Amino acid sequence: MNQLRQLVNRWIMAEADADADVEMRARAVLQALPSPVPSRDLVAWVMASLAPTSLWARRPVRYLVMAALVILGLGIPLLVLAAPALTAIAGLALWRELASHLLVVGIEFGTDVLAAADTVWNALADTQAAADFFRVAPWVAVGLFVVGTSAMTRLSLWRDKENWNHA
Amino acid sequence: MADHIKDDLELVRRCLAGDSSAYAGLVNRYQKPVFGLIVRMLGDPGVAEEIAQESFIRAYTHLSSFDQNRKFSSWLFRIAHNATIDELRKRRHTMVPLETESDADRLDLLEVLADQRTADPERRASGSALREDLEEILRDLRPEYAEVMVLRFIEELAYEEIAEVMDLPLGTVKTYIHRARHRVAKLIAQRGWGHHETR
Repeated sequence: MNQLRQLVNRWIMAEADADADVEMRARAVLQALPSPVPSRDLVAWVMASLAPTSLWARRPVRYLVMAALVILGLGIPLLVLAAPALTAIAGLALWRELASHLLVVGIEFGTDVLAAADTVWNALADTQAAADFFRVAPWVAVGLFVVGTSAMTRLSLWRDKENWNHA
Repeated sequence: MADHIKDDLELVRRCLAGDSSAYAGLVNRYQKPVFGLIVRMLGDPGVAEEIAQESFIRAYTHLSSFDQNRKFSSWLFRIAHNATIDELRKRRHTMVPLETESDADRLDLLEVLADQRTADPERRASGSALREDLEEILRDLRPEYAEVMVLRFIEELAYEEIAEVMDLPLGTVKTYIHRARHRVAKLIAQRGWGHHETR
């Protein structure tokens, strides 16, 4: 009779007789059983999982990388698609600012020219036709300036569009 | 303090100081006990390996929360216990409350012993058959019974430590151990292993 069978018998009899040593007998039987052994090398497996190369396996890192990829994947195409409109808006605003600035400069310049002309006119013999011409001239200059800057803005936009289409 | 407990603490301290290779020593020391506990609760070696690996990784990532005044093994067993319970819940494994234990489970052991004449003598002659029966009985036990059997009789944990691992009152642990032990003895006897061989 092998040892395990003797141990089992003692355990069973102890259970039936409420023997005080029953725990010791149960322990003897269970410790006589071969302990289960994992088929894989758990040490290597665990340590490989803890290595820095396994960073991707960690959920927070994986989620962060995926979120970054989604943002870049959607964001870049959207930015590319919206770029012409953004360029146009930025260009328009720039030209408007420039135009208003030039308008002020032009008015000042025109006023100076008119003042000089008035001085010259006064020096010359006063004629009604000359006076009428110089009174209207500043407004004509302003009109031409506004039309010119507007045309230049539109031309710029058209060029941007053409360049974009060729790119 | 026992030497292996001191060694565990030393390895834990080295891990916390940044020496992750020290953790290999802890895994090496506890891979069999942790795997043994899980496989006897789950009965599936393949899944048990995965749960054991997960338990070791979880222990490593939470090592800073380990109370160094306690035993590392108890803390590790608790992590393995929780991971295994999670797995059992996933499988919708129903844990029957002790109070609803069937009447068949309460059969007196002496009745079983008295009925051993029906056992197959040839089978009883085989030593390996006894081991196989014991393993099978342990696998078929309710997970909490298998767990207390392993922790108490194989790993030799104190009742208080088992209560800590399983997060149960001490009285419940004692009841579990008593019933589990009695049930295994009864099942062994039912399978024909009995006092006839005792001389």
